[in-house]
Amino acid sequence: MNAISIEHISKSYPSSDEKALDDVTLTIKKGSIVGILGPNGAGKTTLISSIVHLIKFDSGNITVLNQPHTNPAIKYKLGLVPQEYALYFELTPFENLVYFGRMLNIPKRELVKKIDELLEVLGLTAVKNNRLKTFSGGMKRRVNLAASILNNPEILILDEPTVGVDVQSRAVIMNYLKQLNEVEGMTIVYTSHLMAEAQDFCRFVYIIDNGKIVVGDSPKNLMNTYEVKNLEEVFLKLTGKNK
Amino acid sequence: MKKLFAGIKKELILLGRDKAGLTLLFLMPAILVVVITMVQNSTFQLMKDNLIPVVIVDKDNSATSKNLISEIAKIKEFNITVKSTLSEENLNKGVQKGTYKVGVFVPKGFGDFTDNTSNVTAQQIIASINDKTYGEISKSDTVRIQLIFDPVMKLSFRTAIKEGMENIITGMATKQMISTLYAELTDREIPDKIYKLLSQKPHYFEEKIKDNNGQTVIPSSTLHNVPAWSVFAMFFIVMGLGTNILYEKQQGSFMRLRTLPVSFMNVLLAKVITYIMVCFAQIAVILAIAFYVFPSIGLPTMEWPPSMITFIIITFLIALAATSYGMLVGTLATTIAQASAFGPISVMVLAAIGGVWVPTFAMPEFLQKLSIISPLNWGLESYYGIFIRHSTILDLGTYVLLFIMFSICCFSFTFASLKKQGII
Repeated sequence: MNAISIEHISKSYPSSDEKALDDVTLTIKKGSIVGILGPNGAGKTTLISSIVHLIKFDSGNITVLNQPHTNPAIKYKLGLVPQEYALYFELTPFENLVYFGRMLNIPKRELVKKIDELLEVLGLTAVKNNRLKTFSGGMKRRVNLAASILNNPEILILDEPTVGVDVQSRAVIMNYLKQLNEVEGMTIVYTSHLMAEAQDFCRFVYIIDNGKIVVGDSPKNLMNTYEVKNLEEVFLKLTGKNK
Repeated sequence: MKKLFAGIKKELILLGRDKAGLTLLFLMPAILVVVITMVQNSTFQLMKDNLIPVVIVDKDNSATSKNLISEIAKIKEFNITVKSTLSEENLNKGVQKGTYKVGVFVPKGFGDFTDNTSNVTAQQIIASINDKTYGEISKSDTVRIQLIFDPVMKLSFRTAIKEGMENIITGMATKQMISTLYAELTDREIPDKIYKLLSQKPHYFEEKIKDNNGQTVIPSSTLHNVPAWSVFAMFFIVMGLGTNILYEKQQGSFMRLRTLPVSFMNVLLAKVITYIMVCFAQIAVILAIAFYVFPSIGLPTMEWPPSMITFIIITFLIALAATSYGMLVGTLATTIAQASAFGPISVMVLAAIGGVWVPTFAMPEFLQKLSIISPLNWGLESYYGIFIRHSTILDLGTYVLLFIMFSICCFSFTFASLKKQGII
């Protein structure tokens, strides 16, 4: 079963002559970990924003769990970890998570239990009552992730979740994502320009450049096809650009 | 509803942790209302209790000049000192240095000049009655009293003193002229009884300050300042609310909320309700100061308005207008500097033209006309209506409509702008 199906979507911004997305078609299988890789400005964030209905595309069609992506019920099944720290820095991690949890209609008792569990797994229990403004970038990223999985969504979309993150936080985040996929069966869609991380983490990758999907396959197959040692070389061969 | 309460709780926590914002929202208007009321009250008391020191140098020492001094002494606002040994130069220096606030120099020959002027005027009238002419006084014979003012004295004080003096001298000259006319027409001196009649001041005016119900209202600095600074404080939430919305736009929390199953109306409504609650809290603080602190520091006390419902409705509408304006500022701003500078500055300007600093009647005509565009003016006039004129909600119908229309416009522009920015 497909978690996400994207058919021929195109998107242009008034500020640019070039298309941000140009006839993009792809599918993401349920329970998979899929990377959408591309250089800066390739269209990764536009693609993700289209899936979660943050922006409207010009043409094409997106279905999520066999339903139109505009269906409000989808919001309960789809979590987004945005590139920005979409949190309140004056609140503690606990207060942030309570607020976003209430927006997801999670009953209070269940919510508190879930928050404690997440903070424990992500190594934030000791600082759960400290204000976010005192946190490092990595710690904020971990709270950002926690806010997106409060209701155990079936699909989790992460937009460059490890940008500017220290090694320790990156390990915590990536290990937990693997665990979510393996134990909970959560479908994970992940954008990045960190090829080594993607090669290790993703079972399938799409490489996007200039708004077009250049190729889609498993990292191993891609390396074999292009006769290179790592995903970074595949990326450079296909895009001809720096990461 | 649970989502709305969660939103309000979040907003209250955020507000509570913004110490600088809270200081601006509560402490600043509290200090302003106390300080400005004290200043205005002391000015009022100065006019009422503290007499203006006037030094008179009488170099004429005539019956007329003595009469003038006794008439000036009857003015309650003046504290008269006669120093006839002082030279004109020293009097000038004393006033310039601020030793004396007002100096009156009566030069030698002033009595003769006023007597002569009155007599000549009387003779001109008699000559006119008899179809004859009578000579005029040469300009070179004119003797003028010099009024010397401390440069720091305001124009309004100077004008009041000058007009008071002119009234006295005109009254004296008129009496002299009528006495001369009486003598010329009857060949007799004017009788004392008639002369005393000329000195009497008929009371043509009766001062009445009434509210809408015909009850006497005594205006005070408290009755002006409490409504004025309450309205100002409520609109000052624009700073906190503006930056609050901008942070949400910039930090991405608005974006996250869009991916969650919550209506954006719900998110904005939580902000509106929270900031309306803040406005009511501000009013409560200012009124508590007016009721409980003012009497203990000698300031005029406040009285509860006759209709609390009218007061609550108007306060709600002012708070709604202030909140809608704050949301618009936060939505249109793209940087913190814009939100934290434009918001308060625009409120200052609207307060200035709205009559918060200086009453609108004391403004130039074009500013008086301009004041009707300021929502702070609507708020101020509504509160004056409630506290001073004891108006009903029907009496304030125009302001109610203006507030509703203003809020609708601000909310509409906010939604349009958020939509254009792709936030909703």
